Order: sequence, then structure tokens, then C-alpha cells
Amino acid sequence: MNKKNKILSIVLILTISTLIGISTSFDILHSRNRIILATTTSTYDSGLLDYLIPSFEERSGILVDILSVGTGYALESGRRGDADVLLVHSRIREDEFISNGYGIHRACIMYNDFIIIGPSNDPANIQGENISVVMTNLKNAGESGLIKFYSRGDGSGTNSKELSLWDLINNTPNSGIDSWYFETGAGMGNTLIVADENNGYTLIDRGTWLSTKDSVNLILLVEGEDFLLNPYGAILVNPEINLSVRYDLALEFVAFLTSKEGQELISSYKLNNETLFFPSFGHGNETYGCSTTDTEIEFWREYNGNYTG
Amino acid sequence: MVNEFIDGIIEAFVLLFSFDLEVWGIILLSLRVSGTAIFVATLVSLPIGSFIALREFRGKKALTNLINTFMGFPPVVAGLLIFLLLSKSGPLGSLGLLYSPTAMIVAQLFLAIPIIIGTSKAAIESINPDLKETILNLGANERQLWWELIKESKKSIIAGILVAFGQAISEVGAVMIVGGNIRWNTRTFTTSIVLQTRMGEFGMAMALGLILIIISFSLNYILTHLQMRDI
Amino acid sequence: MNLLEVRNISKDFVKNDDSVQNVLSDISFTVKRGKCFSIIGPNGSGKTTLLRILGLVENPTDGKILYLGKEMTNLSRKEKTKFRRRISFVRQKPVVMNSSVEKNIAYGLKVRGVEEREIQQKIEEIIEVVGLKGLEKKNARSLSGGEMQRVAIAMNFILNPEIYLLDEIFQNLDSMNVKLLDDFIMKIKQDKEKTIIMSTHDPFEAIKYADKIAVLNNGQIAQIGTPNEIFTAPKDEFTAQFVGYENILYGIAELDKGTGLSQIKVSDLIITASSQQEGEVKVCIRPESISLGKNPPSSTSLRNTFRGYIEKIRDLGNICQLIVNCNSEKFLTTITTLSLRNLELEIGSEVFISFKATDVKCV
Repeated sequence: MNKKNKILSIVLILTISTLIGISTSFDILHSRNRIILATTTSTYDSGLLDYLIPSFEERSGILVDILSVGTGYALESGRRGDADVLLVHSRIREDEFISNGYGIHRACIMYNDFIIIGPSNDPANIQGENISVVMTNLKNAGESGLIKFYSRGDGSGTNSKELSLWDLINNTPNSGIDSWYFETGAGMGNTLIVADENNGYTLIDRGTWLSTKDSVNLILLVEGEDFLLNPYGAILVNPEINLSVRYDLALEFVAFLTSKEGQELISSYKLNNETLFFPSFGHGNETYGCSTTDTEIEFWREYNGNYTG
Repeated sequence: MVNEFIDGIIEAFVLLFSFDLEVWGIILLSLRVSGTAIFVATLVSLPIGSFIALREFRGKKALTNLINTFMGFPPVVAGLLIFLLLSKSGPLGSLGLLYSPTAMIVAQLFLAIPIIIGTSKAAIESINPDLKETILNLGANERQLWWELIKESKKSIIAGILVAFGQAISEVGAVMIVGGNIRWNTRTFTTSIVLQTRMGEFGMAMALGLILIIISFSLNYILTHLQMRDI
Repeated sequence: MNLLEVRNISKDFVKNDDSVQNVLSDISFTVKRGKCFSIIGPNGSGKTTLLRILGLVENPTDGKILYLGKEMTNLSRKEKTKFRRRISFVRQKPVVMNSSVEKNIAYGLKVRGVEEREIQQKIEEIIEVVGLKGLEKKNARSLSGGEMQRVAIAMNFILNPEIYLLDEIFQNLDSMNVKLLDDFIMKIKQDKEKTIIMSTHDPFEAIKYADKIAVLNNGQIAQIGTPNEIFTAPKDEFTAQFVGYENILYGIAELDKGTGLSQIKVSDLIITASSQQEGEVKVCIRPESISLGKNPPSSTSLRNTFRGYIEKIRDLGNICQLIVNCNSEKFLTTITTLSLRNLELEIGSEVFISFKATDVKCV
């Protein structure tokens, strides 16, 4: 290699190295100016957040990076300080998270609902029945070899809801013993695909359903029961557990979610011309699946422009 | 399947030529991550690989075994380890590098470095020993010998780099874990395909897959072309 | 001080199956500056290994090498490189780098940090001399065998080193290159500051160039001496055979005090030799020393005359090798094909062979 090429290559290598150095520093800086919101895959896949967040980013200048993961992962990342704020829908686990000191200042944000879908000929005969009958019929049909049921089996909010429905009839199936009950261990999208391929029944959140129903053969069979409500809570990660948590920025975000503007945006989000999520901040009614406490309201009204739902 | 394939081809064209911001962002990010990883890996691994090839020292056999073993290290496990390292509650948490492209680069480095060390070492070792001695006899010192041997085994070394690049850009587990698949920020081809598939958007997933293939093939083609020429 | 001193060098190679092969043992010799030293021996005797050790690319298992009094065996890498730059090693089979002819030839100068301009000039000169003009930009590996050899020669001789190590370089040359190399070597020999150490399996090559010769047999030195010493007074059977005494017979010698000559009884023959030996000896006669005819020779200077018949004829073109059987002892001699025809000799023909007493060597 002659001198000219040698110099050229050295210059090239130095330039590229410098660029790499710059991009790495950029990554470090970027992380200082953003918050990480950990939420569930079904929430993210509904498209609500991509609709909601740009408004927030614009007015506050805070970037929100969204981790779309399983409920377990979301909570865990809160515990580790890798996320600054959580938006999940698994009340029992949320309460546990807070009582362990990892999260503070929970706020009820919204709710959507779950539905049960299945094959169009409904061999288990659950269409239009009330929830206890639905679950009992599913079980019986399964044991008779007429149907298959697909559970997410991944500790997600959806999964917790499903298990609580089996609890209603005191008869939770076991995928190891009951050959009609399957646990996919996967997200909602994948579970839906599997259920569709096998012409089985499953519990699904309305959001995912609305965006995917045209590509599957299963149909909606059960909806509207109180037991099928799916409330969402936002939790701030406790800055005391990890000093680098961006508490102030996260606070602003949740304040936005609970504000009039935020709550209106939530209710205005439509998928296939149907409203998916219903704002619930400030409503103390169990019917909405989320009892906003007075303490909550008092705390958040300070930040959200005095909105109490 | 044919439907999705056709959808995919159409979608791919539309996305590419309408300069869809998000898709181009994915393209640039994937290239940035894998490109950087291979660049750094090559700079680091070539000297190490040739050093091991050319020198005799105690424990050389053991080290060679180690490198070969690491070539088979499951990338996703590497991803997990890096995640634990960079997590806020991990030793390097204060850097705030988790869920960033840099973290993904680190994950791919883990993958690429053993491959390039292993292949460059093998390439240099397979050079005719008479040639090596001839170069020494002509008066080359160690550094000059090293450079000359790299030039001689250029083809094999480039092949090794191509393999490493292919592995890096196709990797999905580790980059998902350390990157978080965050929109506009850490979404690469592979992680996007997973997301789209999960969401049931098979056409889009296929489109991304096709674009990935095109890019991967083009890069390989260019590098192979360079390999054939006599630089 | 000697330019090079080799003391008790031995080399063992450990093979893949962990067995040890001894290639050189107890090699010692010295080389003075300005001289030409030749190492001769058959293939596999260890010549190349010895040269590689002298070229500082192989370490001996035992023993020392000293260049100008400085011990080479435990030198640092840097020092070794410095010494290597004073030596040039030309291999038997040419090995070139995968780049242009120019770059190959320039390489040695380049690594020594010689200026580009000077390199260009020297390349031009030597390319002219070795006859590679026009091929400068061509990839060295795409050349013919003969061209590649010339590149290898140019690569090394352009360096103008103090010491030349030449490993069987005449072995694979075509005749044009032989002349070229011969010119080069003769020129180098004229320079009293330059030393040559060459290995060959052709004893006559050694005779031509060397001031001193070492005979290598199976990794050990059989004899060291001047060409004359080696060829006229080989110390053992191996050396004798190697240097061309292809007739070696076994007999018992008796010294005839009267004539001062030895009479050696070899089976039924009595051979007269001028070397004063007694007891069991090996009798060595060169084929060229034996003359052949249909009738006994008229000259009496050929003290040894025997009658025999032609047992075998080997046609080598211009020359034929004949095996003549005299009383069951076989003699190898050569004769021109023309003479063979003129004398109408064939297998079974009765002939007389004769040779001088002084041409009989005993070891």
C-alpha cells in the first residue's frame, strides 16, 4: 500500500472512530432527557400510546421511550430502576409492587375490557350467557373433547384476568392434566394466532381484537360483563430505590395522563371506529374496575391542572 | 403464504421509495449498530487473531480452545449478561446505556469478536510456512510480517468478517433484550419483524424481511467484490 | 574472528504423533568472511534445516551459532531481525508474495526503510539484469516457474547483503537461469567482504564455487575440508560414494615394501593402489578413471588391467554407462555412444578395462 492509501485509510479509521464516539455520547445524553415507560404488549399494540404521547412530548419537551413487554418484565424493570414509570393492568401485582416500596403514587388512568372469542359455530354454547355459565360451559365442553381453550400462561394482566374468571367457578384447569387447555406463554398477538389456527377459544383484550379481528376466523362471543373489565394504573417508580430514576419527568407524564387533556385524548382514541379505552381517573366506582382513592385525587390534582375526573 | 409474500413485496417497494421515515430509520439504525459492531470488532480482533497465530506461548492451545468455544456462545445469553451489566441496578447502570443503540452494539460485539479472532487466526495459520519464513528472511520485523500475512490471507479474513456481519445483522434475541425495541430509538430489522409478526402484520413483517435481505445481499456482494480484486 | 561459528548444533523435530525425529546432530564448523562455504549431502541429510537455522528462522535444539562472535540463540526479536537483515536466504523453490513483481522485489528494501526513489532505481537495474523487463506490474504468482525463480533471485540479490545463504538454488533452474545465477555468484565471490554459504546435493557444484566443503550425511558431518581434500581423500565410504566414486569394492590390502604400492585382494582380483594401506580396505575408483577397450592396453602406466565382459549397458544419450563383469566383480565405467558403436560393443562382448594405481583410492 503506498503512502497515499495509507494516509487515506488512517484518516478513514479515525473519522469512523470519532463518529462512533459521538454516537455513543449521544446515546448517553439522550438517556438523560427521556423517561422510560414500561407497559404491556397488549396496551402498546392497541396503538393508544403512539396516539397519546406525541402531544405530551410536544408540550413538555420530554421524550418518552416505550418498553412494550410482559407485565412481569414491566414490574421488574421498575424494581431495577430501568423504567421510570409503569402503565399496567394487573391490580394485585400493582398493589404488591407498591407495598414492597418499589412504586409510589399510583393513579387510575383508564379501563378497557376483555372479551371471549371462539369458533363461529360455538360448540361450547357460551354466546350471550353470563360469566359463570360461560366458564362452566367451557370447562364441560373441553372435557368432552369438543373444544380447546388457549391461555396466555405468561403472568400478564390478561392472564391474571383469565385465571380470576376460572376462580369464579372454583375450577381452574391445568394444562398438564387437561388436554383441552393450552398455555402459549406468549403475548396476546401470538396467542390469538395460535387459537385461530386451532379454532379454539381464548380471552382477549378488546384493543388487540379490534386491530386483528379481520385476519382471524374466530368471532366475538362474550362481552360486557363487569368481570371482564380491565383497569389500568400508572405507577411512578420510587426514586429512593434507585437514584437515577427520573422521577420529576415521570411525574409530569402521569400528571398529563390524569389531566383533562390526557383523559379526553384517551377517550377520543378509536380503532376501527370503536372506542377502545375509557378514562377512569377520579371515578371512585368499583364498576370501572378501579377505585380511585381520595388520596390519589388529592395528590394528582396538584399536578394535572386541578382535574378530578 | 403467497399472499403475505406478495403483500410484502409491494409493501417493501412502497416503504422504500416513499421514504417512509420510520422504515428508513430502521434501516439506518440496523446499519449503524451492525456496522459499528463489525468495524470495532475487526480493529480489535485482527491484531489479537494474528498475534495468537504467529506467536508461540504457554497456554496457546487452551486459548485457542476458548476462542473456538466462544464462537458458539449463544447470542441471547450474551444479551442477558449485558442487560444485567447495564441495568440501572447493575454495575454499569450509571452510564444509562441500557435500551440504547450502544448497548446493542456491545451485544453484537460479543458475537462478532470471537468469530473474527477465530477466522483470522485460522487464515494466517494456513499460510504456507515457507512464505512466512521468506518474509522474515527478507528482513521484516514482527509488525511488518504481521501486515504482510494479513494481506496474503485477505480473502479468508474478509470471508470471516462477512460471516460475523451476517450473524450480527440477523441477531434478534440479544438486541431485543438490551435494546428494548423502542420505537424510533432501538428498533432494528430483526426486532421490528418480531413486533410486526406479533401484531399480525405479516405483510409489513415480510416487507422488512425483504429489505433486510436486499441490504444484506448488497453488502455481501460489495465486500466479495473487494475480496476478488487485488487491492 | 570468524564470520560464522557453528558449535555442536543439533535439531530434533517433534512430529504430530509426538515421536521425535533427529534431523541434525553435533554439527560444528566455521566460515571466514569473504569465503564460499558449501554444504553437500543427499536429499534428506538436513541441509535445508541447517541453513534455516543459520538464517535465524529456526532454533536449534542444542548448540550455538555465533555471527561475528555474537551468540544468536537467545537474542531478542529485534536483535534477530537486525541480524537477518544482514543475511539473504534464497530458497530451492521460489516463494513469492501475492503482489506485483515490482512489489516483491522491493519488499526487502522497503522493510529496511530505504527511500522510495532509491528503491525504484535499484529495481530498474536488477530487473534489467534478471531479464524481467515488462513484467514489473504483473502478479508474481501468475508467472511461469522460471520467471518466478528470477523474481526470487532479484528479491534477494537486490539487498546486497553481507551473507548469502543459498539452498540448492541450482536444483530447479532452467539453463538460462543457471547462467544468470552463475554470473551473480561469481561476481559476489570477487567481493572479499561478502560470504556465501550454499547447500547442494551436486558435488561438482561445490567444487566449482566453494573454498571449503562440509559433507553432511544423515544429519551429521562426515567430513570438512577443501574441495581437493574431499574429492581426493574422502574419509569414509559415504563421502567417497557421494563425491563420485561409484566403484567401491571390498578387499584386503598388503603393502609391497619393494614398490611402495599396496596390493589389494578383491575376490579373485589383485588391484594395485598407490595409497599405502594395509588390512581391510574399501577400494574406490571413479568411472571416469577406467578406460575400456577390446584389447589390452599398450601403455604400462595403467597398472591395473582386467579382462571381463559387458553385463549391462545404460544409454544416457551421448554417453553410455557400462557395467563390466571381471571375475564376478562389477566395474562401472562410461564410454561415448559413438565409441560404443565404433567398437561394436554389446552385452556379452569381451572387453579389457584398465586404470592407474594412482586412481585407486582406499578408505
